[in-house]
Amino acid sequence: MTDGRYTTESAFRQSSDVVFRDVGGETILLDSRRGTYFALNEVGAAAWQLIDGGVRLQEVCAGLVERYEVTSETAWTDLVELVEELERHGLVEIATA
Amino acid sequence: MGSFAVAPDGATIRYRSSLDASPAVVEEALSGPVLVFALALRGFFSLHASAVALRDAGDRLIAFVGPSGAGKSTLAAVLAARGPWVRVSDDVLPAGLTEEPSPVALTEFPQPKLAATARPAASLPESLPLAAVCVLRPPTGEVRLAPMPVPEAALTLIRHTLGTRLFGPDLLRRHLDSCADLAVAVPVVRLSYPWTSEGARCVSDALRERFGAPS
Repeated sequence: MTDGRYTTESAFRQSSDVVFRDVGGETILLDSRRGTYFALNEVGAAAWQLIDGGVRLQEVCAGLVERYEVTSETAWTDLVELVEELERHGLVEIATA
Repeated sequence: MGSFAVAPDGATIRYRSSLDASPAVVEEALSGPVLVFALALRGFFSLHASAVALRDAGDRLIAFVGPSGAGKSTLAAVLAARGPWVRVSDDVLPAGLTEEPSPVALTEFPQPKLAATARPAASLPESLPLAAVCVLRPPTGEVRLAPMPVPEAALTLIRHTLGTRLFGPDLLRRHLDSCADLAVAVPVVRLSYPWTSEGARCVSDALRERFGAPS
């Protein structure tokens, strides 16, 4: 699958400036360089955890499908939206092999 | 004005004077951003909040946060005008979990906005347990106290912390942890009430019932 700039082979890692903290079932990300905050719901937080370490989006998507019993189309759409948002704010970086 | 240097543990503040330093400006900086920063290094993050102490079986503090014009100072003053509340803060309330698991807030932050006569009695201890943080909402026909979900509570505490633009990455991390822990340990509630004297009495009753010492 492809979606705009992303393909199932795209891989990301968490930016080293970002720290995150689990808070009452959600996750708050802090960009410690810019001093900005982002809140992720449970599914977003699961994707965030899966994304790290240069894992391909295909595998992240599969992880979400397995965990939340959604179709892979739904998981992919949500994942792309999330990654776009995270990348736009510099919270993830494209991982080069 | 000169320059301030705060030790990494926040225990000492050194001031290097300059020729044009005005004592009033230096004092304002010292009792404002410099002190807020030093306290943050000591684990006390300063909420932009007014606060009252409930003096009954067990003294405790209730903080009020909200945008300008939400009535933070007014509510603290109105509550203090009738017992058993004592006005503790008009603007700045350093709070932290330095004595886990009970969150506390400091009662003695210099408050330029409070006239000397309105300052809390010296009988208050240096710190008191923080029983609740109320986020003030626009007035309603009756008193409403609605608990906030923990993640939203944590973001609210983050948003209402003073001086964060002075924090480096490490202090921002500690601030996030502190707000996340506080949001779990302290109820953060939305408070709305009628802006009438009857409304203030109902707020007093509601806060005592919800957060006062068990009778």
